[in-house]
Amino acid sequence: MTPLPRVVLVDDHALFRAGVRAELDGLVDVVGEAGDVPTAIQTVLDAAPDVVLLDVHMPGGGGLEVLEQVLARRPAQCFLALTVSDAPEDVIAIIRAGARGYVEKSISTADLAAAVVAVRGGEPVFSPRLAGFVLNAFSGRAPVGAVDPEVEQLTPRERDVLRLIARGYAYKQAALQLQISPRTVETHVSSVLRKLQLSSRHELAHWAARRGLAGD
Amino acid sequence: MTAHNTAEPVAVRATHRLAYLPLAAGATAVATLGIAILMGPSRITPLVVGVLGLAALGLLGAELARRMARLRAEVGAGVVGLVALGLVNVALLAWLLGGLSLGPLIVPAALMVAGGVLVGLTLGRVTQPRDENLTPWQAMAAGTTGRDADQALRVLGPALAGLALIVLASALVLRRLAFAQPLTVLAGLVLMGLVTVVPAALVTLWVVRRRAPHTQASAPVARGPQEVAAHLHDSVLQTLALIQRRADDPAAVTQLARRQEHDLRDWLAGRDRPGADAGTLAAALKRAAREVEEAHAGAAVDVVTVGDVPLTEALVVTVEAAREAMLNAARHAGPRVRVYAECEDEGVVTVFVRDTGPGFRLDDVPPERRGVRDAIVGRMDGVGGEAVIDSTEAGTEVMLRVPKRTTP
Repeated sequence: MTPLPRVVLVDDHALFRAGVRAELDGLVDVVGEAGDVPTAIQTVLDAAPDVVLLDVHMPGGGGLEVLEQVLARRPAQCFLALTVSDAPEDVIAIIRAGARGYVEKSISTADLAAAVVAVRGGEPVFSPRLAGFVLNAFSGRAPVGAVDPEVEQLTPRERDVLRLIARGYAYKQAALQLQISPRTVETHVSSVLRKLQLSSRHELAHWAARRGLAGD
Repeated sequence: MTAHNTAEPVAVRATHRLAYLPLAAGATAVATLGIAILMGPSRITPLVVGVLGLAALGLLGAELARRMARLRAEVGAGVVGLVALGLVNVALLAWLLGGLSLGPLIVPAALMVAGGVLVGLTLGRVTQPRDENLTPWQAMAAGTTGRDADQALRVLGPALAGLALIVLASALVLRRLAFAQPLTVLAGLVLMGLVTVVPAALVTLWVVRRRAPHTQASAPVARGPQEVAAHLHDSVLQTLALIQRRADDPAAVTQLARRQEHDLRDWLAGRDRPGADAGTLAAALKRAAREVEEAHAGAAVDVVTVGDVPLTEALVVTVEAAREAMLNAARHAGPRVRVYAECEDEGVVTVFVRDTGPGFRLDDVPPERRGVRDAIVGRMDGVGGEAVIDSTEAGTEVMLRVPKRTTP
């Protein structure tokens, strides 16, 4: 049996950290907590966890700062963004900075634990809302220049996969539906994540914000 | 707002271009009249040409400013246009009135630019990225017609200061003219003030009346989630998220938390005004989702949309069918229901309603239970669309598909 994922919780709300910690007890091994940016960077570098559960909004530069500082020193560190924000700017920024996934704080405990395991295994985590957001951004409805021309567009297959995720399918169910292997689904999702990370964040985010793509 | 962007960009663009016309006409008329009075009728023809040119350049400047606002969200919107307008104003005055070298005009030009920057920055602050279809004046109107008097003051203060600078600069120019009589100079000043303020006020009023819903929808954006107690709202959202996560059992808590969360998000997004953002597929689906959540304690209906279109009769029916599917899911499968809607480029709208309940077979549904047959399949048939129900042990998914334009 694989050991529990070692996790560091970064969130400026102690109440939320305590809640997540209590819930994830037995599902993950919480090896550290931090409530501000400098502490977070130090804790993550010291503890070297498998996954950092990172709040996007924090005083002192926010989760983005933590991501950038840690990744500069340890590029392989795995981050899962956990946030209440659904502003496209935040989503794009955090993915662009190198987070391997993005989930909303209202996610169920089981789903959160599964997401932690998934990102530890190198698998990107796409919530339905993120999938919808990416589809919108790459739909061709974006103005010219919103997506860098050198960035490839989504392939039809990647689009199919994202559509299923947006509809609430798990990777395995999506694989079944498309009659491809779960491994292939992961490959498609990874490739989408890479394209998103390469896209022009500023333009994309502003375009998305104007469209009110955040959903609700 | 989304509907304006996706479905009627041409119409909207045309509308806000038109909004400049009265501004141009008013400015031209007043300026021509004023300068003609000052100069005497003999030089009316070159004056008309000059003032028309000035008005055209001013419009160009305003359009440039609007484009700036689109590119760079907050800072500098309006600056370019107003600076250009100020410089052009000074240069044209010098040319029109003759007998002036450009040297003595440097100070007035600098003042005018400073005034322009002040006004521009103010406009920039109220021109949020969401408002790309508003002219700076509309955005300003949105900012100043807010409920908050303080806010109006914040917006109006620097703008008025900027206008004062522009008028002062104009005064310096006029003072250099050969008109010794203070009354004439005063009249010139008043006219220049009128040229700037009156058409702007008229356009603002006109635009606010004509496009009240749109303008109102943009007003709350100006109140700025960052400015107004961002941290408080963040905390509330955090707490709500926590409550949601922990409420495995007491469904009422979840319902309350979700409802509160929706309200707060709407407030933050500026969608809390009646009529705001109504009339599109995405808005209608979200409304339906909330109604279902409210009717079924503990149900959580998440809506993700790709693209958006204004509601047509067929789409209203589709939303009703989707609502029925959500109700079924919440009733029989619950608690988590996912709705995904996509407006395809080919003009087809597809809505998926998915749950993870035990599933059912349409054939097993007794004939007297009409919910699925009439309320979903029948409805979609009626508008030339289709409904496909795919149910397995892993969950049920209802797909509704309708061409965008069907004859009802």
